[in-house]
Amino acid sequence: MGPDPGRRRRHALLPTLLLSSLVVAIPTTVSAAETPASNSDDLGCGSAEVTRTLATGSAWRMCARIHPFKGLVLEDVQFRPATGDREYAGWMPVLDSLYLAQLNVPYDTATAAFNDITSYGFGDDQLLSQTSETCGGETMDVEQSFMRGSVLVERTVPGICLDEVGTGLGWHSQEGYANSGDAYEQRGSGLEVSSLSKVSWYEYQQTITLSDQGTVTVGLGATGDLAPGQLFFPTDPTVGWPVGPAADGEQRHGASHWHNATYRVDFGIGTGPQQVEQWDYEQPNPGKPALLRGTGTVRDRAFTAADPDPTTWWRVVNPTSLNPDGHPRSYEIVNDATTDPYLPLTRPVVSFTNDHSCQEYASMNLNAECPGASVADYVAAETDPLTDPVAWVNVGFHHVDRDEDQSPMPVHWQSFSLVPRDFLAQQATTPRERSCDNGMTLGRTGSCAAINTSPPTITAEAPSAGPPAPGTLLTATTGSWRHARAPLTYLSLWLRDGQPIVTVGPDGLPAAVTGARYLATELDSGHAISVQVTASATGVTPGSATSAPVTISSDQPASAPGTTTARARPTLRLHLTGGRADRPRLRIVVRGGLGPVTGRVRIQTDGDRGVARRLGQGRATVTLRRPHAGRARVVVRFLGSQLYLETTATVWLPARAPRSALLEGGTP
Amino acid sequence: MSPRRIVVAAGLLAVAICGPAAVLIAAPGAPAPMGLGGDEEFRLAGDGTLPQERPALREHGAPLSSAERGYAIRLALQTLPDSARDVLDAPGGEVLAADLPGGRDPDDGRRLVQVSLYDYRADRLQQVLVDLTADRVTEDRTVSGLQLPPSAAETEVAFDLALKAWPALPFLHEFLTSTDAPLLTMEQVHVVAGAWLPGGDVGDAELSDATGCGPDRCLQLLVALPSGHYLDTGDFVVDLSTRTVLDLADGGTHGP
Repeated sequence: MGPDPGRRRRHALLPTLLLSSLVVAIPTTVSAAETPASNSDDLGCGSAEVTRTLATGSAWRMCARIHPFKGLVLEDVQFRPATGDREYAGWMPVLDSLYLAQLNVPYDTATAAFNDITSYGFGDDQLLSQTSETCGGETMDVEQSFMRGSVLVERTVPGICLDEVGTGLGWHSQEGYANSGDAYEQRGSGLEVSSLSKVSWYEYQQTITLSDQGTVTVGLGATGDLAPGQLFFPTDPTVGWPVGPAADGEQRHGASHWHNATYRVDFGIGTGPQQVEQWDYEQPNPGKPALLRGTGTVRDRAFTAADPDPTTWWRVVNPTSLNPDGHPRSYEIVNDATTDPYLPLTRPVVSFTNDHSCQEYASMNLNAECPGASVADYVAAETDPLTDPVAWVNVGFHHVDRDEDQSPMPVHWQSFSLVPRDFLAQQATTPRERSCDNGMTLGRTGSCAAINTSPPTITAEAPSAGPPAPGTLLTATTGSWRHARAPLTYLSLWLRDGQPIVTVGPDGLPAAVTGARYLATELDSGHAISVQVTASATGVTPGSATSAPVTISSDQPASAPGTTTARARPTLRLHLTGGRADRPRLRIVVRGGLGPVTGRVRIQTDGDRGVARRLGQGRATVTLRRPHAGRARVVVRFLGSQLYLETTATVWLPARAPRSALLEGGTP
Repeated sequence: MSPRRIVVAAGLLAVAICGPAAVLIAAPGAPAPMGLGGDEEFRLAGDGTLPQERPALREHGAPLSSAERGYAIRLALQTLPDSARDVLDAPGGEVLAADLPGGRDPDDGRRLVQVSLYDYRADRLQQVLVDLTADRVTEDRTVSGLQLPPSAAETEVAFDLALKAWPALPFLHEFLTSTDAPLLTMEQVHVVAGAWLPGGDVGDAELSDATGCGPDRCLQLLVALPSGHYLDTGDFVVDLSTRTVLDLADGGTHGP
């Protein structure tokens, strides 16, 4: 079979196989190649588009539809991890398409075999409507139409189920031992896309679960009823199992049979050509049975993996799409299912070909361009290097009937998974607390980010009952924060109706109100006051948390002592030292009952322009110049703060006579 | 096929003669039943006829609307030779499927439909790629021995042939003993049909001989009582190409 003119564009643009040795030379083109193929608003498939963000933050989007024969088909499957831009911007393509390409059901009696996909089909009127029992999530309408005789008939049914399901424990990491230290834990979630089709006595649920970790699990659940009649209930016990009581002295047996499913997985990881890599393991030294050496080989030609070693596995790699660590993105095929070893079609665990649009079905191909062909034919006909891989994955189930399989038969499952391998630099839902654990950082404890575990709270120190009023002193806690890799420091920012409260700073410029305490003012009347605490430390991603708001009453101001005015009045003390020196020093001490006084003081001598000093722990010092004669009047003014009123004190500086002065001020 | 011929073919469906067997098909305007239950929700798309004009097109990857599918079928039918016949031996091919083609290129903005038709006169499948955007057929392939899942009309014809086969098929007797009534029409049972090829994927030589199935279009019938109990129909298949019932046990045929 020659190259398909309908091959994907990326295949045509990059026709040459990238040899392994060239991979290292590629990074210069990485930024362009790694740009997600599609960040457009939609995938161009109208009502078939599904976009879901899971509870854990990861998201999937794709086109989901029902084909008349294949049943559920997913196309253009793209993933976005919860970690978002820490990995890449927007969506990253994973699969071009995924569907059940054949379901072969041979009975052990060798009297019957069915190809449920190519002979019967899973769509059209084989598709069953979803109900509240079959679908725990939301349903998606499927429009169907086909010819019935000479007329075109149609229906719209809820044919696809979209259900976010729990996937059990997502991850758990306990710092310390025996429940000491912090625990990091989360339950996983996934989007389950499913449909239900009835082909005679058997009914099949096609289920594809797309997890928050980027894993795609493809399952086929069989239910309905056991095969009926004389043909499928032989007397030969070697080809079945006794089911039900004997009748007329004869025990009949439900015929054993295979459900041989072959899935067609068309990979589309990022953009650009892809490779198929096979990993084999060797045990070189019987004296060291644990020693295993793995070797990866790029398989550049179509092949069938018949009877591989149980440790062998395969992945599809895009060598030009690198994760933030510089590792090429890939998806690994994990297939632990049994395969029917007695048929050439179903014996291989997997086969790989390039994507050719005419190669639609695993056997009995229904496309007239490759009529009646099977996977073995595709492999034999492939002449191009494998750069646009399609995996034909065999997933079998040998059903030996039981009494318990009688109507309605409990669902039995067969499945395989596509698991991201280096698709991401870290797991898809890595919490911020572990965001710095990448590489050789194992063993360190403490969060990589400042993570609030209980928000800050505000306490009003108003003595009277009722809501806080202007004049009430509000005190905030920092809240509780997860143990971090370095000690955290906190900054408390006060908010009025969610916006920073701005006051006029000592320098006359607007300044946000920060600190552990805040005295409510008339401006706060009728407004919600909250505090936002930002925690930070070197090497730790900062975090912030905001308290619940406290509404300041617009009624009477609080009447507690010391809070009858908007701010408290501090005590301003001046202490002149320096004896007879020409340049004595003036020590300034400002104290108050609301805690350390911050802000500035201005010192003016005989009405000059003066100088300003910032208080440290309520203290400041300034050097003065004595007058040549007489005495100078030195006025010290505390300029006020959010908690304290402006206050002034005066000291007289004589020309000569040294003396100490201690005056208590003063005039407000 | 011209529009006029389609109308004529529709008219022929009221009562059609399929070889020596008479098959009753519901008149146009009322979808034919497929046995008991399950089909009530299907209704005519518009008036049931294939659209004459190209309808408004959806996005290239969106599921087909009924009008788009119907119009694509109309264009595809026009590629058949005048000699083509459907399962009712009426002019035109049997429409087996019409849907988006596999291997869709997400960057291809064309609205494409793959239509599969079966010409019973030539015993060949005709697969047509219709480009609705360009309003024309772009590919047309004819092959023998490629057997798709059957249409509703084929299922009905096959069941009718099985009803009228002689010697009578054992499943009719099983129906009689189970219900104390003869099986006379398809409305008494649930019927599912599949394309049947000898051997299939199991490669069983014993299942591969004695029939002309493969080149001929054969169906296997799975028939259930209203109770859900399946009758034993594994001992025969219906060759629609020759209008005969083939006995899988002895390789013989059941005449009408």
